[in-house]
Order: sequence, then structure tokens, then C-alpha cells
Amino acid sequence: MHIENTLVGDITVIRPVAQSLDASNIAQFRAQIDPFIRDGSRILLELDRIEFVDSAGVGTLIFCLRHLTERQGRLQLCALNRPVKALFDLMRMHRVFEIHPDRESALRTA
Amino acid sequence: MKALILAAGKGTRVMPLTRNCPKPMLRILDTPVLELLIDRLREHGITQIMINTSHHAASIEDYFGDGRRFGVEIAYAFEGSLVDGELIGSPIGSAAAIRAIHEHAGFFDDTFLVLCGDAVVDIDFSELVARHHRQRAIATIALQDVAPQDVVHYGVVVTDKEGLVTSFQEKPRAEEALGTLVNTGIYVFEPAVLRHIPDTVPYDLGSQVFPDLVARGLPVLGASLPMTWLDIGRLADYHRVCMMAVSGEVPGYRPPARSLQPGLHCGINVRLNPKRCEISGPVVIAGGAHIADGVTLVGPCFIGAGAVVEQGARVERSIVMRHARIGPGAGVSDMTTDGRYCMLSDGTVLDLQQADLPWLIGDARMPPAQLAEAEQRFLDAIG
Repeated sequence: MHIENTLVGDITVIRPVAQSLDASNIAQFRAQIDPFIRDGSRILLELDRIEFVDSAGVGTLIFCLRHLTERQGRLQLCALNRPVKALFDLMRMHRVFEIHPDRESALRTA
Repeated sequence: MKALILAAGKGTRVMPLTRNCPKPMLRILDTPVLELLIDRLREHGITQIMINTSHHAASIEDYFGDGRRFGVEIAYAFEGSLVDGELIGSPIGSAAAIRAIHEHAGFFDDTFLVLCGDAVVDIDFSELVARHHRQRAIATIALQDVAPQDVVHYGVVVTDKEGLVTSFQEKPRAEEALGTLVNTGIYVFEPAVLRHIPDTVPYDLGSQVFPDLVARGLPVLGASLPMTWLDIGRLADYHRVCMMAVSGEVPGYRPPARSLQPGLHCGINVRLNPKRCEISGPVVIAGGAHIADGVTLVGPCFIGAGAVVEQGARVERSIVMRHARIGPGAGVSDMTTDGRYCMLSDGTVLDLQQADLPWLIGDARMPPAQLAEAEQRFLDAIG
């Protein structure tokens, strides 16, 4: 997997280019996102390519959220596919994550 | 009167509900669809019932046995073979099933019924047969009027002014449909129909026998009677029918009599303190279930026998099947879950085993799942 990153104002939009965020590729994801979350940035994670997330993927997202929050950063998620949104709803992730339907609506709240 | 219930289908379109059970054994809350159907037949004096089986045949035979407990006589025609101790299903088609059963010992010696075993049906079978006789039909198809946008899922039947069938259209697009009356899979036949079923396998009623009868100019009646016909073609249908059952809208389904508060019906030995939960009905909780404190249930909602809903979970407009466990804080909304799969009412399916989240949804009979450190932190964060 690799990630695309775009700077929009002071927000870095990060888009993982992979079908899944799971135990098989989470180490690669961590290695690539680490430079962006190191210093409390504002990150928008666009998950439109991701069709499947497992517990390792969820754990990593939670790690990123904690890491950024502790450094006065911010993590938003957007463009979740149906199965990923369904899983996040099941976990009631909206209680801890800021989740938007698409990139535009997320950036509007910035 | 005699009937054949068709129960040999694989139920592919309602996977994964049918991974361990044939479609006619899908439970509307706690009652198999097939049992609801047999109850209706018995009420109309139809008590000699053949069931053709194939996939998961044993689960049907084990449940219904010889039919005595259900006030009818039942025998089975298995389509497949026993290979290395395992039953391998091999369906032969609905028409070939009729032929095979008749060739066995001449079962169909008078007017008889044939029904698909995977729909919830409430129809006046006596009136259906009376109409069949009045029109001197060789075959009668019970028809249901559906919304124009829904014809794409069904077989459209076109009739003349007398109700005699003139043509068929299989799953037409709405704009191409010649009508909105569809085949319900409920048929009446004269034994003479057997002459029109060749010794060919597979051979099907809907796509082969009926078009052939009409082409030969034989009287096939399309009968529209007031009826309830709840087809379970897709996962969304199953969810909708279960929601109707919880709301008391499925004929023949009766919730447990015990009512703890208006809109809340419980089976025996349910562990629940209504004062420590938020419950808005209609909610049906089957025997032996456990609803922990701090749970929110928003109806229509069904919690199956032995199921567990843990602290802080929220279940709304959903079916929690037998022995499923809903983990602490989970949000179950508009879905059916069997403890491994979550099947959403829009057809989305989640495999919780693949997602490696057994603490979220699991089987109540398994040892409690160990939480990874990150998962525990997540639960603490939302707790």
C-alpha cells in the first residue's frame, strides 16, 4: 500500500491507496503515516478506497487519533465505504471520531 | 387434500443466513417459515404433505419428523445422495420433483397443492381450490399484485378477462412489464398435469411446465385472492418480515404471552431489569436471554433465546438471533445478526470473525474474548 497526501490550507489530506486496512498492511500504513502525525498536525483521512477494516486497522486509527489529540492535532475521517461505515456504526465510532461523508464537507468544518 | 412443499432450494440470495440451514427453516423470530406454512395448510384441512428436500435436508426432517406434532402427516423426497456419510444435495427442479414423487407410489391421485416453502403465506386455500374447479383449470397460480417498481424481482403473469393465463414475463424491467400481477409460487394442479412433465431432469414448473400448458391452449387460471404473501427473496425481505412479526403483523405468529410492560414481551427466565434499561416497544425477548443494565432497546426488536446483550449496548430495529452476544457499547441498528455475521437491512454483510472483533459481536456460548490493549483503550474512551 502507499498513501497519497495533499495539503489543503493547513490540513493534510491522506488517502490510503489500498482495498483494506488490516493486519496484512497495517505496518506499512503506520510507517507511511508516522511522519504526518508526529507533530500534532491536522489530518483528514480519506478512506474511499478502503473496503475492509479489521481490528488491527481500527486499533491503528485509534492510535493515530490519540497521538494527534495529545499533541493538539486533529484527526477527521471521511468517504467511508458502506461496509466500513457499517462496521464503524457497530462500534459507535462516531463517539470518538469525527466522521464526514466526503472530503468537501470535512474541509468545510475546518 | 394433498400438498407438496418445495424445500430443495439452496437459498443463495439470502446467504449467509442459509449457510447452515435451508431457506424454509429460516426462523421468523423463533418459528421456521415452513412451520407457519404447515399451520396454515392444516387449518384448511390439507393434512397429507410431501416435502422435497436437498440442501441441509436433515434439518427439515429432524424438525418436522412425521408431522404428528404439527397435526399433519409428512413424508420427504430427498434429492441427492449420501456420499462418504455426507448428504450431497442435487435438486432436480420443481416439476421433476412432482413427477418423481408420483412415480414413487402414485401420490397425486386428486386435485393437489404445490407451494414454495420459503414465503410466509396466509391465503384461503379452500377458496383457491374452489376457483380452480369452477374454471375447470388444469393448473391455477395464486397471483399477488405488487408495486410497479418491484416486478423486476418476480415472474409477471398476464391473464385475460376470465382470469386465464395468456403469457408470462420473467423478472421484467418496470417499463417493459405487461402487468403487476406476479406468481407467488402457490399452485393448484389436476393430476392430468403429470402428462405434461417429461422424464427430463432438471424440469421446472415456472419456466417450463406453465408456458407449455398455455402454449397448448390448456386452461391455466391466474387467481387473485385477498392474501398475505411475504416473500423472503433477499436479506432485506427477511429483515422486513421479522420486523413485521415483532409488530404483530405476521399472520399466525404469536409473541410470548408474558408482558413486562406495554410493548415488551418475554419468554421464560429472561434476565432483565426494565428499570435499568431503556426500552421502547415493540420488543420481543425469547426465553433465557440476558439483557444487561444500561442497554437500550428500540423496537421493533427481537432478542433470540439465550442471546446476551451486554452493558451499554444499543439495539434498534434489529434481530439478534439465538445465542448471539452483543458486546459492551455496541450499536446494532437495522440489521440481523447471528453472532458471526451482521446482515444489514440494505443487504450489506459484515463478517465479524474476518474483522477479528469477537468482543464486539460473538456467540454467547464461547468464552469471553480477550481485548487487545488498543480495544480496551477504545472502550475506555467511549465508556
